[in-house]
Amino acid sequence: MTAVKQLAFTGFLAAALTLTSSSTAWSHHSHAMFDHDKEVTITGTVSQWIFRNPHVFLYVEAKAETGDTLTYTVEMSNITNMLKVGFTATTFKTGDQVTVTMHPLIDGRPGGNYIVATAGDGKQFGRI
Amino acid sequence: MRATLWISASAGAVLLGLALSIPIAAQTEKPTIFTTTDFRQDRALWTDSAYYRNNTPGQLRGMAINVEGRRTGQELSARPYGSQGTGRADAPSLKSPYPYTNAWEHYQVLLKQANGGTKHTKQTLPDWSGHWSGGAQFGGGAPASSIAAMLTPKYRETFVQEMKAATEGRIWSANSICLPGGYFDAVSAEEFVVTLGRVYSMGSGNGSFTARWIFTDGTPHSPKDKEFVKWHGESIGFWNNDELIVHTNQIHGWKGGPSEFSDQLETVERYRLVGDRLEGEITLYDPEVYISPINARLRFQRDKETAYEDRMQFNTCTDTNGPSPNVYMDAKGLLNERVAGDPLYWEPADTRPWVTYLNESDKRYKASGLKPTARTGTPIKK
Repeated sequence: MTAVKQLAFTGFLAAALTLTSSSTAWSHHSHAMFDHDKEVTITGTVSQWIFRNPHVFLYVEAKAETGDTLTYTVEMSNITNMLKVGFTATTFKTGDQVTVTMHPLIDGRPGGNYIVATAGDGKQFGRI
Repeated sequence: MRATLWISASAGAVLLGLALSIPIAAQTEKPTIFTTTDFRQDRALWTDSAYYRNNTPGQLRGMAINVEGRRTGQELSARPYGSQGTGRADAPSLKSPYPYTNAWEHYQVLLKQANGGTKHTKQTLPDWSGHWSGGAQFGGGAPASSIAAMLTPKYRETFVQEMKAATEGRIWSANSICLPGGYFDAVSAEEFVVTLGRVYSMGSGNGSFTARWIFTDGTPHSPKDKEFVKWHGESIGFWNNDELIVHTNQIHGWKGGPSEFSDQLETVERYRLVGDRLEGEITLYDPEVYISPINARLRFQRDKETAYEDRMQFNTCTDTNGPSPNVYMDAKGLLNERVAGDPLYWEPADTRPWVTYLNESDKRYKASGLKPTARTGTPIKK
């Protein structure tokens, strides 16, 4: 690898990490970063409901085991798949209660890949 | 005495057997993509299905998730690391059955057979309306070795490197970082608009949109001095009664299809409506990447009814992934642009960014000391 390409690649990775921290995830990516042997359920308050492609995102303020309140980033599927299991653009608004089960990020940061959810009114949403 | 001799002989045989069998076993056990310490030392095995434990490329990629028997999303294709695959020895051959050495020769023969092509009217054009799903089927369940066998040495090595990395959860894909999907994404069209002189095909991926313009008005490809590579190439075609035949050149080299492809790729596609299916084939000519032309089936199924959520739509990957880092606001609040060498700079001249990724990933992964193992969690029944 040339020096320029090495630098460029470092830049690329850094860019990817930057994007990851600000917008949470890449689209069409492998789900290898999630632990598919674990399921974590959180109950908390919706802080954002982003109903957009390529991935829908649900942000939930919830208490971690440490007692700290964390913002969990729940990565979901694309809009088409979400509509098929009953989610809509207005399913959640800021302040709603929600319980979400997800495969957590392997590295332990507060986030994961959506499995199922129950809205505050009791409506249940199934697997994609 | 006889008993003593027998015991001595038996013990000797056992000892001899042990002495011989252990080293022989150690020597004869061939490495696999899962056990090798340096896949580059295994070149002679890259075209042997046993090297991949008979897994298909899709099954090897499924090991990135490394679970068994789950029911949703990517878990549908997930597999435990190192598990035995189901690659079909009788899968359709990737090798083109045609004698042509290049796509233009192939296309010209078909044009001659069609006596210059059928001149349709609006009334006689085939009806390809509706919403379709499908595309090209490369190898149909064949083990990864069958793809490796079709690639020239440089690209075969990258293919094996990519397969190994994928099994370890290290996957590069263009769409995942909002780069274009490339030519083969566009072949997997969802709508075909057939008009006199032009066929348009479109697809609406989750993070991207594809479009092709196939010129059937008899005009040729752009002249040499106007040629340049395009993500979906430049396509011209003709009708042979109800069959559309397409020649595409000037394709931007990228990943897709059976492996990756170079700017030299040219293709010949054939499409014909059979009931509610569009059926045909695609033949790939890329002497830089393929040891001989590759042929695959094209198959699309028309929806009987299209659900609202399956309607075509325009999407952009950057919607939730963020924009390019190259143009940005600097510390002074000015619009600025990163250049080669700057942190966060994206290198547009890197024509094979997946190779850059794989090489760097290999180094970091090795340094990390991580070792992939099959997960042991209880499978969930589908």
